[in-house]
Amino acid sequence: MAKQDLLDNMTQELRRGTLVMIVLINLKDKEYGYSLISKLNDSGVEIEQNTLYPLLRRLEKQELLTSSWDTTESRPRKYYQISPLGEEVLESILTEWQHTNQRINDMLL
Amino acid sequence: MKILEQYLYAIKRKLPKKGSDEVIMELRSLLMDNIENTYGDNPSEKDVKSIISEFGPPSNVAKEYGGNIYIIAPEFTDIYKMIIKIVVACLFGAFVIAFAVQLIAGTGDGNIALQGLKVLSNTFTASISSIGMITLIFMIISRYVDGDELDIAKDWTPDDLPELPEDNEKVSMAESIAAIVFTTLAIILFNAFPQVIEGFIEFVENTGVDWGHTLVIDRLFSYIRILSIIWVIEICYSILTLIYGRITKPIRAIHLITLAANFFITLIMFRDASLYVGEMNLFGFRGILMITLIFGPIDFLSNLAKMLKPSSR
Repeated sequence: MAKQDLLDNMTQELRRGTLVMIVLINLKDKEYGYSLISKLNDSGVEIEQNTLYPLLRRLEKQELLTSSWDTTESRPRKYYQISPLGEEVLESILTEWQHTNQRINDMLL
Repeated sequence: MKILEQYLYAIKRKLPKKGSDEVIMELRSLLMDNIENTYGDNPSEKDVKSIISEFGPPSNVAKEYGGNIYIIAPEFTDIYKMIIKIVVACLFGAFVIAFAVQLIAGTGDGNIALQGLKVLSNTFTASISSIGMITLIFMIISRYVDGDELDIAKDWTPDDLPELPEDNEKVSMAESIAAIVFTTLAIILFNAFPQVIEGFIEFVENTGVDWGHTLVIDRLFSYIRILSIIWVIEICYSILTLIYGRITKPIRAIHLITLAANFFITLIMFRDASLYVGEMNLFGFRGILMITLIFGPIDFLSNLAKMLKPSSR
């Protein structure tokens, strides 16, 4: 496998591993699908729409997010926001993330 | 926008019915946001097509929303494949034996090559039906049984490791597999191809050797039906020895029950005058039953002794 392909695969796996955490962090305030994509893109996180939207539904099924339809605007929009359970899980994941970062940094010394 | 509605309709057709309306509503909102933010309030059909193309084919989008829908759950795939292999092998074996008996008895159509080809075509046809039925059963199981519930490896700890088998518990895998295959063959042959058995009996009669008696076919088949039940239990015993890799006391108890049942049915057949036409001597079929009646108890007692032997653990 060419080096670039290998690098692309590994980068994609790394992003995939952090995606749930990134989504939960960015849903402390209510967002709808497109606004979340724009917010993530502005933060430098590129994610395909066909990956994000099914992920939002899965996280909602897992009760990490809540959703509500807003029908007051020009078209109905489904808004997502992190749930109390989601916040608990996010806190634990962030702690784990920091530990992992620390361990990696220690290995590099 | 017509093209957008066409796209959403194509996606909806591929979604599971439950929840599809909400998924489409969300997708419509999403796509419209995309279109307006990229091309403004009056997009052309070309603009809409460009956004739709980025989203991808309806089947791919539907798959992302519908999740992985397996016809047969991954947890059941290994056992499904194993059962298919056993069934196809048994069907082939049954047709080969039927062909061989027809050849010996001379009851076939005449053209040996054609009859041989029929073995293959019959195996193929019967296999298709069997695979279809087995697949249907596994589809139903996958639909209603959570594969995780059957995942015995899920909560494994070293404490779950079984003891090493003692000498009297050891089992030969080859013997167990052979027992499963040949017993299954016997069940299929005796129950699905009665004409082969009849042909074989006719062949024996036509050899000219005077065995003193012949068999009443209907009576014989009534015993075969009872014996088939015992043979099915024997197959379960062999499968259990394969799963556990040893003959535990409960498994040996099952074997003892089938040995005892076999012995009693054999004894009844030996003494049943209505099974025979002619002299009830000790030759021919009755002779075979006699040998079974002599060695059956020896096998039973040997297994009983192994079961009662105290464990050295």
